[in-house]
Amino acid sequence: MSSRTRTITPDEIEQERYPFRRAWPSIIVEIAILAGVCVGVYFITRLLNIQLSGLPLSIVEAALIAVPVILWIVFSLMREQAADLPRFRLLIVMIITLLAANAVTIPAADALFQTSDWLPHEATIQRILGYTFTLGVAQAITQYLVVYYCVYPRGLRVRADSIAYFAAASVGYAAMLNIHFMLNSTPALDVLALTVFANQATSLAMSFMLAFGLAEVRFASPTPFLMMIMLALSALIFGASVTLRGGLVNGGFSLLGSEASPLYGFAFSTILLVAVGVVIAFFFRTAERREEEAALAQAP
Amino acid sequence: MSTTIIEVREAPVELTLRQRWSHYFAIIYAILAVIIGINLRDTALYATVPYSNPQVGITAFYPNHWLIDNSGNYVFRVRDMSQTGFKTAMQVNIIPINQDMTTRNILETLILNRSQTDSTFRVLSQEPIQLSDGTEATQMRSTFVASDEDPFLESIPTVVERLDVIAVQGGQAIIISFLSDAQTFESNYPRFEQFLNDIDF
Repeated sequence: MSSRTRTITPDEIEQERYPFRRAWPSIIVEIAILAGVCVGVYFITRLLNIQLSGLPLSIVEAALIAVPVILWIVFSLMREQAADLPRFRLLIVMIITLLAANAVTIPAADALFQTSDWLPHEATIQRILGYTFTLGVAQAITQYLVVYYCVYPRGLRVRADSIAYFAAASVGYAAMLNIHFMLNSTPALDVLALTVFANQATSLAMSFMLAFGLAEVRFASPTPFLMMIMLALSALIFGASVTLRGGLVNGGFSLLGSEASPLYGFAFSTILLVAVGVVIAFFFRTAERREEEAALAQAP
Repeated sequence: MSTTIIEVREAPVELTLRQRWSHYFAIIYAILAVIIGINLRDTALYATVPYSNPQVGITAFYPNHWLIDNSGNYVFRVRDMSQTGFKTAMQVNIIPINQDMTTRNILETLILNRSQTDSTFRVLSQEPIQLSDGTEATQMRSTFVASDEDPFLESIPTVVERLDVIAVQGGQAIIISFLSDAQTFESNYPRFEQFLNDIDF
């Protein structure tokens, strides 16, 4: 007589272990911690009225700028090693994007478009279009080209690879934007904290768009215009983000006086990132499900 | 003895025609967007506003967003108030002259007056030029040091470069001047060039 216990439910089917690092949870953890750090620095600076200057200020600012990069190294790059099939070129993509931004894109865009000379005076719609067709396109095409020439097509084995690589590119580009902002504007610590978050959030939202476009091109057969459309939408996110955030943050003229509202800008960046992230995650899930259904239909 | 080297490579992933075109379209879009961006920049930077003064017979187009005023001892002056430090300015002045006066006389008068009122005034060059409508004129480059009018601001004085274009027409001398911080003079000069080409008197 067998001593084995029989249950009325079927035996648990052993799940196949997912061999890649899941990109979305890492991104969520990184951006949540970054938001906490930036808001924390903002409130501490405001409430305690901390006014650093000289070397202490430079050290704190440098540390603040390093936070997104450190978070990415800890939660994306280091965790990649624990995966069965790690992505090998994440660090290369991040560093090349950072260097390309510093050596080519930012200086070339400044010299060519001179946005500070004309865009701040324009009306809202013109500013959105202006930032879209100048700095937005410059940032989007830099991230796209770096990922395309570093990893495409072999590096994209599953759709999540696209998200992981574009997230790396966004960290590199945002880091360079933050460094330029710190060196050229000498901002107060609270302003820098919220700008670091805004740059990272915008850059990440743009990279979601690009990631979806490149993943579709790699694994599906979309229209050849899809990548172009995603590039345009990505640039539009930048244009809308810079313009609308500026409008929310800057205080308007009033007889009662005016005061900047940096937290509105923070809220806007967060909502933008979450909205774009949710939509793109839904598109990714739908595309993956479609692919699974197609594979099942073809199976004998 | 011969050594055989066996190289192991992964099979290359061939891109489909659709994937190739997808990449080309992305690049083409980026190039077009840059062209549109430059066009938007030029439209905004070189946008002008018409100015007309029938009393003195002058029609001009000055840069959009510049502040115009005609309350000084000139016909009109426009200034770029968005600049930090010295505000880049263009101004038009008209001096009645008698039949015997030449451009040289007018220049000497200007130099004399400015040297007496400003010890930092220096003439850099004088040369004849031809305006876009064929009018013969003379241009004089000079510099002076401008300090902030408010002494409590404690700002460092700015070296200003000045360009005066003098044309004699109908018994009057028209002096069109361009004043800019010497460090940004060259980058601001295209605005004045456009202003000079469009002015009609």
